[in-house]
Amino acid sequence: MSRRDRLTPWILALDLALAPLAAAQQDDAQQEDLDLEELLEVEIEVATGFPQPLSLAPAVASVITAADIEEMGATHLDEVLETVPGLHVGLAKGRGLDPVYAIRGIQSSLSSQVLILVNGVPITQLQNGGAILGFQLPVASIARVEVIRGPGSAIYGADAFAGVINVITKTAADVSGSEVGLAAGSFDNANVWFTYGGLKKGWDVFFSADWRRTDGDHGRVVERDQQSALDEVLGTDASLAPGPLATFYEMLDVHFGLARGPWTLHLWGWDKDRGLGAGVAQILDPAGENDSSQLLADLVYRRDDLAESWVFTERWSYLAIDQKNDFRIFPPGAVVPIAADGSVSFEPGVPANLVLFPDGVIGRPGEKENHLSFDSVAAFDGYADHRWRLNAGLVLQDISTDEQKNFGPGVIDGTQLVVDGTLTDVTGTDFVFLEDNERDHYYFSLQDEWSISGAWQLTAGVRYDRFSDFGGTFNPRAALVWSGRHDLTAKLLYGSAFRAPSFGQLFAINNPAGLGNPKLDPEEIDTLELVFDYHPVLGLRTAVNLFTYRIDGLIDLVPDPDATSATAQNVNDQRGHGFELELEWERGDTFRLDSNFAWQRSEDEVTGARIAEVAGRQLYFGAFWRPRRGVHLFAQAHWIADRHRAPDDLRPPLDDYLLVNLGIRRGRVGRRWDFSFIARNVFDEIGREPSDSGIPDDFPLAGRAVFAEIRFHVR
Amino acid sequence: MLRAGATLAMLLSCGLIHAATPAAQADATPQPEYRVKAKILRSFASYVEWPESAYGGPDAPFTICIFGADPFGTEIDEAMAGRRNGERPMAVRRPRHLEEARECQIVFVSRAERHRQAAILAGLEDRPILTVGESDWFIQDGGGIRLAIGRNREGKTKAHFEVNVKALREAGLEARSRLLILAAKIYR
Repeated sequence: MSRRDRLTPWILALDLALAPLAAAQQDDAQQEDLDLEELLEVEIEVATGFPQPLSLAPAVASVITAADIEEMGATHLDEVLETVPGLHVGLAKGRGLDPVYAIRGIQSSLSSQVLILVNGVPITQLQNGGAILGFQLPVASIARVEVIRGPGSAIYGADAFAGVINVITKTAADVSGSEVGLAAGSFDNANVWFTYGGLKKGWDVFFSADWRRTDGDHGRVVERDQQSALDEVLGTDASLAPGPLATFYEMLDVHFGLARGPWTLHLWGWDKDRGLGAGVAQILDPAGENDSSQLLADLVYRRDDLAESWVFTERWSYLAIDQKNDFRIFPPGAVVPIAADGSVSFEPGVPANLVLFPDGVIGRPGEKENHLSFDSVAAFDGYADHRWRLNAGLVLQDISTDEQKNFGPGVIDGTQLVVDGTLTDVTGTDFVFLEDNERDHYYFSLQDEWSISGAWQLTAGVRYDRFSDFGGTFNPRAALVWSGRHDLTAKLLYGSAFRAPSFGQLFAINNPAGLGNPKLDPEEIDTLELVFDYHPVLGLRTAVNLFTYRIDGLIDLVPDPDATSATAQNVNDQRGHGFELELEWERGDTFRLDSNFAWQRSEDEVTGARIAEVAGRQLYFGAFWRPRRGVHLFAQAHWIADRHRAPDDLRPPLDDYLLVNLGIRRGRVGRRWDFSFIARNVFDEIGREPSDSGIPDDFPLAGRAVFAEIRFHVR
Repeated sequence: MLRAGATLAMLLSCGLIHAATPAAQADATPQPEYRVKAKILRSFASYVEWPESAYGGPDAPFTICIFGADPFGTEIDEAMAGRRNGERPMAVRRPRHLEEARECQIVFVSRAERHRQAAILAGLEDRPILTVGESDWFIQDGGGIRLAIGRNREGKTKAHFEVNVKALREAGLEARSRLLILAAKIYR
């Protein structure tokens, strides 16, 4: 309930008291009211501050709306996120080149340090942390994307560590009628989508479906892979390098929304089959595939009329994840050292026999997860200048795994010198990569927004999370916001956050190179931020965000003493600092400029070595021009620079790269049709994202690509 | 600032400031943009004639609807409180759906909806509705009146508006000649 609502009883009381007076004055008031001509002469005081409360939010936040997304010609979420200051979308090394969301120099291979929410519900999978393998989200269903850089665990709990990405899907209010779209372009890319929004018998109904496929860019060729080196040592000829990265995929994304009165239901179904990029072991695997699917059902009940000054929001959600994989870890014809326990072992000192795999070393690990959660929020603003938020929730999660393979413990023992492609099912045995498991988790949080005076606001909050496997964690935050001038806001923010160890890190077995450790603690971060948001004149916004953070207990694999295995441990500490500059300028609706620059320096707390492979500097520049009705032009440039190698990686530093995108859209032809044409990486720049040294020359990004799109609107 | 705003809102709702300030308004103190625009929006009701078919019934109110993110806040509610247009009481609504907006007499299309305003305007064009908007391309997209602010030669920021006579005519609305005299620009 707003302040105004709270005042209503007072206003009513006053109105009643003054009613006779007011009635007597009403006619006069009507007459003395300014007419149109006079109103046009009234001098107007222009507030240069943007109307959205974003600049007042107790966090460093960016919001990208469906209108912004359409303007920049983005077709999926990663293209949208790349425009956020200090956020870079990189590539995961071992898992099909999944997107890696690096924020302010903090990244992990599956973005497990960034919390991804869909309509406020976490979609973090248990096995690896981070979103589902192959995660990619088409934009047709997206109403807006809210990105918080910095810690969010005091509100969102686990994994809101480097930042939070919350995707809000459309409802019937965002779409009127139906729209069909068709797009096609480079790399045999094809895309069909449909959206519908409307009122049906008092129900808000929204539906969207998006299907797309691509062969991927066959020009993304790597000259050598890990197998090339093995071939040289062992005299084999198994490597498929030089060869392209496997970036083909086919994806279906379906959303359904239904709302009436206090009830809102969202259903989201997603399925993707895709190639494995550079393979799981830095060895090209063009035949391998990952097939992931997930279903999210989310029911919300919200009431603001049950008690004066209270708003209650109850949410039930269910997330089902299914991941199937078919890996050729080593290609057909590979000769691999196999230790006595059947595992692949390159460790010196471990007795191993060289075994020929004429059909390749094949693994098919799969997993299914169920996440059931209940979340309850009560907001109360009935006491003076405070607004309280009380939150509690319960999450029940389980994972079941399955695995077939032609190698490893329980399958072979290194005595057979030739092993064919016959697979052994180790599901439910002691030899599976991860046993079936469960995690229960509950939490409480409390937050107070205190309007100390007109210009000062203090937000303080704390959240306690208790996990059945690794214990409890307590995360506070505080934000002091000053908005004493209409054109300037300043914020001082502190927060702590944690990342929950994934099941792989806690419980992985039968892989000597990466054993789980049930004694792991969560990774922890403390962050301090100072923010200035300044609107010097109408249409111009500038912002400076300064940050410093310190991370304790980053999890990494550590060689075990007196053994040849490696186990996950809380070993690394990281510190970092930096800044982001933001500049947005718009001239009416005709021209808009959106640009930002981010600089960060992060290093290992103990060794002082720069954190490898994260961008030290990045620049985004977007210009959007509407020269005449229905014609939209845009140009975007992304510059990624200053990426270091790990101390033990002797390759030359990564080259900086600049990608430029151009687009034109002709909208509302005959009021029904939209046409657009978009060119990405127009200068065919060979940008590269870091690989492990198994693929020495890094992962090339897609070359120049063009796409054409047609949309048809029906009311 | 919020508290001062609420106090002001309270005083305004009591009709205390209304009676006391017209002279001051026209003179010195600049007013917040959306307070002025709310009053201008209200005053459009007196400069346009709606057919009887525009209303749900003889007792139906004269309804101004804000479609999309509301830039007015409470200003529009305060500007309309207790007002009448002819015999009809004036009301403000904030419809979430286009279907609901089709029952309004004036629809203010928020600038936040500019990426789909052509579709919104197309969805209202067969109804006797005065559409008012602020985006640069509002008239070109088929809107009725575009409301804007700009600096005059003395460097003072004031409101002005443009009228799309064709759109009004096609909607079955009749603009009074005074409206066209006051318009900064007329599209026929």
